[in-house]
Amino acid sequence: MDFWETKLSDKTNLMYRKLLLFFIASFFAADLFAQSGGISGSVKDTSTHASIENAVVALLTPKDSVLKAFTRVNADGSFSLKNIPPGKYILSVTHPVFAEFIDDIEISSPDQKLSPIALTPKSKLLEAVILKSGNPIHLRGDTTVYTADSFKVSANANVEELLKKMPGIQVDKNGQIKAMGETVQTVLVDGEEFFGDDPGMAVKNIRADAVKEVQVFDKKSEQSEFTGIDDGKTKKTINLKLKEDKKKGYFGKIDMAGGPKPVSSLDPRYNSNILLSSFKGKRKISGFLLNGNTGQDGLSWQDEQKYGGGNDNMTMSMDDDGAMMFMSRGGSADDEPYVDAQNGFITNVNAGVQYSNKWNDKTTVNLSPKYNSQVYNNSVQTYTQTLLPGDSVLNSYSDQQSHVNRHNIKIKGTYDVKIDSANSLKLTAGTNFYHTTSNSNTTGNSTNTAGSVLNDYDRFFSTDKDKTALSGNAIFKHKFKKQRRTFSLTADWKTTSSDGINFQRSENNDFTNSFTQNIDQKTDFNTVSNTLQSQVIYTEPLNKKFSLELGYRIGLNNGSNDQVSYSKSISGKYETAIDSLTNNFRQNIFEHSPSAKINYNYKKLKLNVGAAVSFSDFQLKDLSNGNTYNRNYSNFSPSANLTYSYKANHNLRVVYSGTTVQPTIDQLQPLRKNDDYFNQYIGNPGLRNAFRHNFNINHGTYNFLKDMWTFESLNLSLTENDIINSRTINYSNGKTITQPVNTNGNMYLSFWTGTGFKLKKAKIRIGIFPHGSFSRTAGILNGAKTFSKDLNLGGSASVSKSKDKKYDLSLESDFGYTSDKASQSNTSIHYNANTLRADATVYYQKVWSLNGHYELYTRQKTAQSPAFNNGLLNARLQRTFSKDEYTVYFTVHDLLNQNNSVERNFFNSVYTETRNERLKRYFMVGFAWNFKNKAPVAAK
Amino acid sequence: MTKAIILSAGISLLCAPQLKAQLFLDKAQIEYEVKSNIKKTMGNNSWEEMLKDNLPTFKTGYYTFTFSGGKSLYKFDHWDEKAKLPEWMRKDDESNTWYLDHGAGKMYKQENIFGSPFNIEDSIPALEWRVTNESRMIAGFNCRKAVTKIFDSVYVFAFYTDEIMISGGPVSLNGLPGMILGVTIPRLYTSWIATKVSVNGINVADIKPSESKKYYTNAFIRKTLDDRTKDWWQGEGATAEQKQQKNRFIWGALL
Repeated sequence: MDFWETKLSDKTNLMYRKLLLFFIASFFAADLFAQSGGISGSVKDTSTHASIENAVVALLTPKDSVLKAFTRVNADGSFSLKNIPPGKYILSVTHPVFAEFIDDIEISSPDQKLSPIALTPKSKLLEAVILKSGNPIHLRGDTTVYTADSFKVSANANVEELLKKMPGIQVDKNGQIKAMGETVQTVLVDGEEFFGDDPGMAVKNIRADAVKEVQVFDKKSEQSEFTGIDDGKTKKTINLKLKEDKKKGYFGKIDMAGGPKPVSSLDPRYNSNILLSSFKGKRKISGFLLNGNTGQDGLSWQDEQKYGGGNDNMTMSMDDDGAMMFMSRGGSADDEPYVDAQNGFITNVNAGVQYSNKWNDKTTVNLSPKYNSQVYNNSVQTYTQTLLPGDSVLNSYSDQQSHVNRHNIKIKGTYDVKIDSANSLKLTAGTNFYHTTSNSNTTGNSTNTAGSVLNDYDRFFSTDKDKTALSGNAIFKHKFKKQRRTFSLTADWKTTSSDGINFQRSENNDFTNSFTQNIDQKTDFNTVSNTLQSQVIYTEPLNKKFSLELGYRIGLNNGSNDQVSYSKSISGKYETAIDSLTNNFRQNIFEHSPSAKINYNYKKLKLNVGAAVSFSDFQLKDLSNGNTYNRNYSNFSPSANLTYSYKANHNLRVVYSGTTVQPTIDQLQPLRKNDDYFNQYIGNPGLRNAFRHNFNINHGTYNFLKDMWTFESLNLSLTENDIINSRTINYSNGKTITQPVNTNGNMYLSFWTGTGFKLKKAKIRIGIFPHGSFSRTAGILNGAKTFSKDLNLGGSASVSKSKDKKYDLSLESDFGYTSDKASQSNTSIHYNANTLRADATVYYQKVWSLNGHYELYTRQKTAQSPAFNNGLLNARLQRTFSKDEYTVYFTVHDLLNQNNSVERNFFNSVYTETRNERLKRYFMVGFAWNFKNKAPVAAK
Repeated sequence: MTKAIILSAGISLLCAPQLKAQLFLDKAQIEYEVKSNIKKTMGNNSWEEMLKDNLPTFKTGYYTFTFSGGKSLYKFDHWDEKAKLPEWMRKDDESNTWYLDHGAGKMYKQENIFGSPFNIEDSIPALEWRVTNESRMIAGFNCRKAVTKIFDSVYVFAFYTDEIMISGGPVSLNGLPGMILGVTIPRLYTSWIATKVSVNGINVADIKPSESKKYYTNAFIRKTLDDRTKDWWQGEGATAEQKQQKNRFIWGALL
């Protein structure tokens, strides 16, 4: 049929159809399109000549076999396909019991009649020819192994090319792979599927030189692997084993900045970060070196993730219901004082190395030595006002200059092994060394309501101390064959010891009694503490909804505390021991605690109820006077936890826990000391345990469509027999004696709520967070019971808007109102405080950016202290080069030169205001280089 | 494994001629084992490494595809008991449903995204399939391999059998001359494989779309997803890995 005839027949056909359309229904309208073709025909069985119902008749494009149309054969053996664009096609007729029929056809007319198609019943196809290879191939069990490097391929060849070179493996032009004559159905990479179940995906995308071995084997069918029943069916599979060293690379960051002296008394400012990380297979080595004097103390969170060990104190585990549990262990619980690098002036060096490696996905080893040195100077002014009965108050002022120089080495290692699918073991060992020298000089005085000075003091302390902490931890977990039945054993051991020398020189003046105390003494001290704790937990499923958890814990603690103080003799030597200040204590605590918990988990409700009882045997020996304090007590801690997921992403959680609070050794028998003449602390061996009830209700929602979240939380805590301080104040000289006692009536209530959403049109994100708290604290003042109440109400609101590489803007205001009142006093304290934060970054041509960060603190005046407002403005101008690889920047910190820290606090009838000196205005110019190996060689 | 068509012994013995008719199924329930390699989808930060240590390699779930009279319903059935997953990885999948009216060319889908259910009413997506000569047996059926591309670049490898009459498949995959019994989407690290085909005990009344007051279109969902995820992974600051995670999330929701 030539072109014109086609045209003509189409036209005739069209007219005929138009007529038809007139008389028949309108839904044939689709057939109206000119140039559309169609076929019809019939399918029969060659032998029986019976029609073949339901056979699939399909039209495919000849070039790439794209399916264009298909239909099923009718019961009478006929079929028809309409609306086919004219052109060349492959006609395919398939049926499960017949061999496929394939023919090339050209469709040119709307109803092309095809001659009847005859199908032949399937006959067994010949198995492909088994290829004989000339080379003896390395056999490993059922697996044929080819060593990739022994086959030469071009430099950038992919695996397909490599396979073509291997005897016994053929790759045809369509990319189909045959091994030993059989079609390869799966290609695995390092034994893992889904890298492309389609063989072509993997072999085309992996470089030949990344492959160590090509393994060919017969893989059992997925069903038989799943059911464990071998159905004898196998499929040819190739596993590509990658070279470990091909998964390697490095990355790092160098950021250095420096600037002139902020003021003549301070050094020039500098801060530098050097971070490096390299990985080779699963092995990772990274290191960092940070030093500076601008307040950066340690790695940022992001850098900790990339270069540090991450949070290696945290362990995660999952129970059999799939719930995640987190456990945080220890941290740096070496009782080292926390240094807030924002306050005062710090010059520090942080350096560390992190090594980790993993073998066979089973054994993981981590090792991380770290070094830290801090030189820290701070100046703190503290003002306190104690509310006394009626209109009287006691005011105290102090001014402290402190200097700390500390070196710290930490080494930590973990060994984690999954012994088999049922057993796992994790061992952790750590050691910390500290060497600290510090001194402080404090001057202060106390005044009464009228403003008369009652006393004053001037004290100097210095310490030279070494401390060692060693710790070890083991966790063993076992899963039983029965689902949800588990056993775990943990053991912790820790020992810390510190020894050193203290010097004290102080002068205390009591003006009322015209008394002056002068101290010049030296104290040698040595303290040791050993703890060993072990716990077993066993979980047993009772049925589908209930499970039981049983636990048993034992703990041992023993320690010693030896301190001898010497006064300075006339000869200028510290040689006379002061008996009243000698401490020689030995302590022994043994504790054991069984516990039980029942969990219920069904649909939307999760509930667990449990309790633990602990029995303690406490013994404290005072060697200097031969006294022994023995205490035996039992603690009870019930808990209940209910989670109700009443709707997707809507959760309600109600938690109750009861805890016994036992007195600390210091509260029972404090060390004898004389470091603060006007504030003395005496112990109370008769203290009983306190019991605290905690209630917590949490509710949260998230709506993805509206992009809105909300949360509400309410906390209530009530304490029975709470241990509080009883103060006896001598009004005439301001001397205060404090002793812990048991009392009732302490409570704390707080709420936190919040919601966040986005204004769609303006593309502004808004957050609103109202919060508040109320506490009532009981106290005893000169023998009379007092209550102080503290109310805080506030809320914060934030708005933000950003456009990628154009601008980021945010504004936040945090407001709070505080009201404090003590029952014995006529004085009350009320004030408002607000913190306003504004942050703006604007980008220019994607490479320039200017960031400004402003914080304005406003604090209303109180009866005790004046209003104090200050602003902090930081700015940074930067330009990046070569796709953010290099950055040059200029920063200014505290442009307004007003940086200062003021904190206000009220607790138990005492109002405290603390001012810390901070680093004020300075300028720096810096350069940062972010680098990584160019093309990651990793095969992926 | 023998052909997994479950036939009542009575019917097969008494009505022998009907056995031939069972060659082409126009009403059946197909069970799929759906496996996703979740570890492959995760990154390498310390949080993710910690998570990997606690998770099974595969997220394995079982879904059913029930069809009759040109209408089909694909939905979640149960999880693999042996490989426990945290609730936040499971919850959304459990109430997703796909109802396709093949005659009318309409799809009703319920998709849960971070706990928010979306009901979608749209036409059945049209896919351009490339049919190959490769074949393999799945659940006792001889299946032919066909390939298509979705979301412009994501390859889908499907195995379909012409012995099952409906042109359906798991999720919204469709359009082949028969039923898709096996699928692999390498970029989503996910595979679907039929494990059981039953012809008895099918409740036709169950084949219905999830009811909703409001229906959205696929285009709306796509726009919402693009809009939300834009904030999560900031443009050029995002690493290649984060971009892939974002794409996988969007593709997974639109399947």
